[in-house]
Amino acid sequence: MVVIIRNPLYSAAMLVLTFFSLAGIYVLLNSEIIAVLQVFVYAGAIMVLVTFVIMLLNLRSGALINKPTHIIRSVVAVIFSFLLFICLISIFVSGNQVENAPKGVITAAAIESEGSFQLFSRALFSEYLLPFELVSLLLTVAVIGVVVLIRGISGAEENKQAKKGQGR
Amino acid sequence: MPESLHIFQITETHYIVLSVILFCIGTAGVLIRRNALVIFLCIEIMLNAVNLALVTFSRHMDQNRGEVFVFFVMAVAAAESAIGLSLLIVLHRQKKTVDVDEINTLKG
Repeated sequence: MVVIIRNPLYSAAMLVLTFFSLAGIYVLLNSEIIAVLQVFVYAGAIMVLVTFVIMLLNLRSGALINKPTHIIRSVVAVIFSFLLFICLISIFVSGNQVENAPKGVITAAAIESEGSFQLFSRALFSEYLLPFELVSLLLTVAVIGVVVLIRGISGAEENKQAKKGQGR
Repeated sequence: MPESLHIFQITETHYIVLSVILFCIGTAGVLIRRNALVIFLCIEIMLNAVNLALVTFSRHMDQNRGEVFVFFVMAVAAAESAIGLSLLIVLHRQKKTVDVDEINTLKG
């Protein structure tokens, strides 16, 4: 649906639906924290950002509505993704040797008794503390980068207007 | 449980197949669409497919690492979406289009 629909706003709405369904699947998989994070981060933050950008661009021009693609290109893309599908499925089907690998301690019973949130946060804040801090650093750098990008462009426009004003 | 209902029981294989299908839909979308925004959405679909596979395997191996990795993937996806969307806005201001076929300045 996200791919087929022409209007990007509607395909964003379909993507929100997909994210919510995936959150339900994570609940089925016994990892509630990932489901909660999925709803918060993806269906909340990222999709709000995407919708905001779509609205912002739509106000300026109607160029956002997708033009129809060439039929050859669509056919080639579908064939390629189907081949990829076959490859991945065959990889996963033939990969049964992994069954003998050593298993961890986070069994379904452990999740039942301790709660998946506790287990997750214990792992996150002890074993993976350094990557956690690095991720927070990365997010800060991303925010600074966005501000610099947008300010650079609007600053250049202001300079142009200022020069025009001086020319007059 | 009767034998006929056996195929309706959801196993890990089903989750993996679903994740592969999602990934292929995302790939097809990236290849078919010309709108940079929709390509961005399709990349998000592919990231989600990988997340689903990670969680499934981490459950299968009775471990926690897959989930922690999914957490990091989500954080990086958030940063990537912020940067990508602001790049898209800048591009739209300069070129007045978001069609990736018309943005060929780097073509030799």
